[in-house]
Amino acid sequence: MASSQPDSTWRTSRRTALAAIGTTGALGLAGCIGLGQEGDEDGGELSGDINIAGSSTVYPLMFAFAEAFQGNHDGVNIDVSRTGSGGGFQNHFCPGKTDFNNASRPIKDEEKQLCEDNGVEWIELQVATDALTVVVNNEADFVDCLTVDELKQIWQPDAAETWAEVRDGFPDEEIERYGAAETSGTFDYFTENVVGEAGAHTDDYQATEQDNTIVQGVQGSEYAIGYFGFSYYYNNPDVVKALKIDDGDGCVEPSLETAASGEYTPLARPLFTYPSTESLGEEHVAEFARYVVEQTTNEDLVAGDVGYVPLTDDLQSQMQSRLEDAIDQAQG
Amino acid sequence: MSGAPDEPDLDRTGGVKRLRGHAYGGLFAVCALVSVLTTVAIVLTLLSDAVSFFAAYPVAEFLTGTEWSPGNFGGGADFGIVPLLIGTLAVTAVAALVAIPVGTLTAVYLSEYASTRARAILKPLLEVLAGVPTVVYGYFALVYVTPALKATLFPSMATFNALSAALMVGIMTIPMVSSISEDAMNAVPDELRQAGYGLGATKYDVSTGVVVPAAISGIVSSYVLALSRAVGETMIVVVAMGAQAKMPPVRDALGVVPYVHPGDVLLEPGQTITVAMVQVAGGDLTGGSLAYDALFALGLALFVVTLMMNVIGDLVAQRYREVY
Amino acid sequence: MSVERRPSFERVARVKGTLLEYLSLGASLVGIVALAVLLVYVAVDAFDLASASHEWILTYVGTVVVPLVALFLYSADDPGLTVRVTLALGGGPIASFMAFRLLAAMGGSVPGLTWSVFYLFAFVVPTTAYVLYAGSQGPIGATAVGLLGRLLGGIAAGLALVVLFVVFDPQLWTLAYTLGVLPTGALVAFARRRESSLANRLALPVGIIGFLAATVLDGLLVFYVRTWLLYVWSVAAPVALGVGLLAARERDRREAALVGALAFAVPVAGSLAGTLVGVAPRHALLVLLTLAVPTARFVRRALDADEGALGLVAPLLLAGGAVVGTLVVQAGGFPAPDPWLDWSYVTSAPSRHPEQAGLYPAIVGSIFVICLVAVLSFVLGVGTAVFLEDYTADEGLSGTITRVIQVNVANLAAVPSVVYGLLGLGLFANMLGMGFGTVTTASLTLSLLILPITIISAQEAIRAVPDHLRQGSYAMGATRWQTTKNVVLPEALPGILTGTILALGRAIGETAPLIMIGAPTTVFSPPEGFASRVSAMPMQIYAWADAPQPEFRYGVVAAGVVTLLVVLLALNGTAILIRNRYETEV
Repeated sequence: MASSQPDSTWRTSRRTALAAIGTTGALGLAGCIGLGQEGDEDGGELSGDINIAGSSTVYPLMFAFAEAFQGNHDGVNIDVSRTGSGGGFQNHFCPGKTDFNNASRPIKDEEKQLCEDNGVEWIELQVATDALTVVVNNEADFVDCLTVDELKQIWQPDAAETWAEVRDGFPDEEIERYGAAETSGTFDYFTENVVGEAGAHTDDYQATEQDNTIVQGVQGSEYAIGYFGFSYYYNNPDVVKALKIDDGDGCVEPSLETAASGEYTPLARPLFTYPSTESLGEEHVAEFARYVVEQTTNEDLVAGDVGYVPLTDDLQSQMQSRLEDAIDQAQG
Repeated sequence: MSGAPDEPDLDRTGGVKRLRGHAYGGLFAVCALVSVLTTVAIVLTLLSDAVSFFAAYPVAEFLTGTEWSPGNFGGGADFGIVPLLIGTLAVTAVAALVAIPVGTLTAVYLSEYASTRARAILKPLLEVLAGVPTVVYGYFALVYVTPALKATLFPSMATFNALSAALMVGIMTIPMVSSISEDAMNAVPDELRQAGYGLGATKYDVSTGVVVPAAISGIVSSYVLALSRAVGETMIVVVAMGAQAKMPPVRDALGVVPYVHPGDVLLEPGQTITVAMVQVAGGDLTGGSLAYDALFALGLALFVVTLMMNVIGDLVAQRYREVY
Repeated sequence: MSVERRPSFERVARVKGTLLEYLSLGASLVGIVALAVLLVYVAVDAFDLASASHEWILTYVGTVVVPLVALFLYSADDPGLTVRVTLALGGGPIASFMAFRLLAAMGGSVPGLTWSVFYLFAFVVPTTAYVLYAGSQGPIGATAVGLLGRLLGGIAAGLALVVLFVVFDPQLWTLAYTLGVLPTGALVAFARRRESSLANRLALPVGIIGFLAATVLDGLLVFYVRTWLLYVWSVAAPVALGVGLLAARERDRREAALVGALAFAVPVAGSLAGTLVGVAPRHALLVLLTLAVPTARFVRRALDADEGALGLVAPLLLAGGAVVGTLVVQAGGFPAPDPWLDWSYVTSAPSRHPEQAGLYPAIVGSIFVICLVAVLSFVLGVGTAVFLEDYTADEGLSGTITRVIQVNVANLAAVPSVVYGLLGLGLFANMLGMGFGTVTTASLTLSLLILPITIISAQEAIRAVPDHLRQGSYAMGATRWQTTKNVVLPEALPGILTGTILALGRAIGETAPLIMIGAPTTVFSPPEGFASRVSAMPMQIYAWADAPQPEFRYGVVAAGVVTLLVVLLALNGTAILIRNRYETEV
């Protein structure tokens, strides 16, 4: 017995270890049933989960809203996912699994139908406008307005070499192009709406992630052209010249009003989020929705951090009353 | 399972004990059943949604279509798998060009030349290559490899491209080739080597003329398994290869012979089957339920391809396995 | 290589042979070297070493690395090694500087690296690693490595415990401990001592009832006791008791009681002192428990040993070196790097501002999910392996079943992870309604993903148990279950654990299945339960990798990659330790 002592203790300890692993496992599994109620200091604090899915275009904006909101409300857990506008409605929102769905386009009829079939009611809130500006050098007098087709000739994969190829009467000078890097949402949106195919873009351009670089490039040459998010031009209207865009209905200049009203096509689109009415019945969700609407005119956040066009005050108060109605109805 | 022959029947007296023993046996059997159920569940989940996809979209068009655009900007969605197959093939081929020669030579070194100490150091280090998370490899490809290649060899390379992703997939699969091949080479009995030396052969002759041919079944099956891993690899290509499913342009050599320039595939963004799946699951798509079902059709295609490669790998290993 | 008397026509053949040898050696290194270079770059980005001044790097090399290397050289006691190391560390800066000058003169440059960073990674890191290895063969070095390892491991284990209590409610644990674990333990101890089978039989039911009572009570009660007190009662006390019992095996009762009391008093007192340096006492308590107990034991042993006690100064050398280095850097005003990977990175939530972005919720999420995966895949994997190895015969129906399962497992191991993601999406998230991207869905999916690897490694471990042990057990009249429980599993446990932990390393790095099951792109707080939606480290890396700002791509993501790799390294290190310990035991 004595001689086998070390061996048997080792075996016992292994058996104990086996038992311990099993017990820890069982405890661990059951442990998560109980939720932590590590003392919240003030009792009136909001708490609960908010699940947000949908468009990857709206994602950075919602991320910013959620981050700022969470900073003041520790008890609220927000998660934001990029599932695509349609994927969000289809798989998450209309089956009743998320509280908000972000969308870079209005909800479609079949999605409305699906939500209705599942008894999910919603309201539509516009949260910002996504708009791009096409800019040229302040000295470039020859061009004020381009049609979408001409834009396409400049930016498509097999692009025009000189301005003269784009339109008769333009100078026979080589086009210098400054655009968004392939990694950015701006790139995707521009190629989808101007060239007509996501990701299709000429290689013959200076790609950058910094709006400043594009502006410097365009300032440097009379025959340069570039595009970037609207917010930069909105804040610095004098450094370069913004082109009007003709989408078949005449030239439209980019401005807060034309972007918000939908005239400035195809380079502007409203961005939405769809809260479910039932979720708005919960105080923490309602409070977050209020916060979102309140922040939609916050230029620092919407334009400065994210690069979208903030709502006008009119539109914001419209959204506010729409939201309050829904909250009243939901909370009875 | 009752009364397995190797169990001495000493517990005849303890009926309860015996029952308890059977109960535990049953419990273990249930555990084993889980792995079988997993396979069944995979097949059923893939099939059920894939069937509803093929009810709406013809199989022939899926297999031969040259257009993959599950979102529907500008018209209906297209679900042709051919461009995805081209992307997958391109990545797998380049990965194979890296992993097969490097892996085989590594196996030769480890089994024929390396000292015990060198083996003890090299083998765990090689395993590290397979242990690094694939998303990390993808990040390396995007952030370090592509800029390096762009600055040196291929100035026209796009930010997202197939080549850097494929190189990383190749590096990741080196240990797969090397460890299985090395096992096969180690299994070659020493008598064969000694016989070779006895005939006056050099170490080179023995390695290339005796050991490799004798181990060829294991080596080939290691290739097939590594390729199957490359086909199913997801995160490296998702992060580094971009997401453009397109057919490469067909060029004409001397004006007559049509060919596809490798640069049009490798230096440009592309899409593999796996990238398309991630794209549909997590991307900004508006395709609705058909795109969701297409996800499972792609999964089914991937599952079938990798399964077939494994079966082939096993068959090769068995077919050529020499019994010593 | 004895080639003197070979005829000359064989020279060609020899050249071929040598060529093959070096070619194959080169091939074995190419992947490793490529990965090493990439890792250097990611480390440079994560710690912002590119903006560290040469003086800063050289100062810290001089004050921190050189004394440690000297200690280990002393331990190795090899004059040749000392000369080579001195040449490498001393000549390295000059060689790197000249090489970079030369390259610049030829119009080239090494992107992203300065000569001092190059020196750091090309000379200092490999030399130090080798000296640590060589020195640890001697008694002083072994002691130093043992102590440093215990310090590092203790801190890591303590932090892991802290993270675990973020998700596993401390209050529930206290109740379960008080009502379930404690009575069960007492009954088992009683049964051992008095050989009372009644107590033994009662133990399990008592434990279960106590545990159920705990869950019920947990919902009804809200403790207003500080978490620190809960830890003192439910963690520190049992640990101290365990330490005391262990000590009782080697020493007499009084000494053992003293050891136990110290094991209780030191962490408890130390944790209160934690407030002074701004660490929450409840966290300090957990870290001190995992840190102090093994360290004290090790120091005691080292002091008792005949030689090698000098190695105990290693942590002091490091700490002192760091202090001196900081003083020199401040006095000299050398520009220091501003690392992305710092304390605030691992303790704060994601942010749209790169400087504030952190990985905390994803780290906790990963650890939570991995714990569940560990339990699930361990139970299922071991069960299946035992069934396949010990409960089926080779022939007949039973043999066929075994073969079918075996082939099935082998094929499952080769199914791409993204397909498992689809399984999770279709089965767990949609059909069974467990929710998109919840902890449950993620853990089940990842468990099934690594199940084949766990099964195969568990099978190997069980197969390695010598058959005569089984036969011996049967000969003593044990049933098959008793043999499995008392002989096979304890014997195979280290192997099984090693395999499971390595498989967990695979699970912690998986991203594709998480994307498929709809894990959220961003969460701002750690998961709180089974139904919480969870993010994980690789998922967050993926979400950041395509952020347009370069600060995210080169800074924040690099920091995430390094964090993930460190966690992986810790996991695999644990697995290797278990294996080594097992190998020396047998």
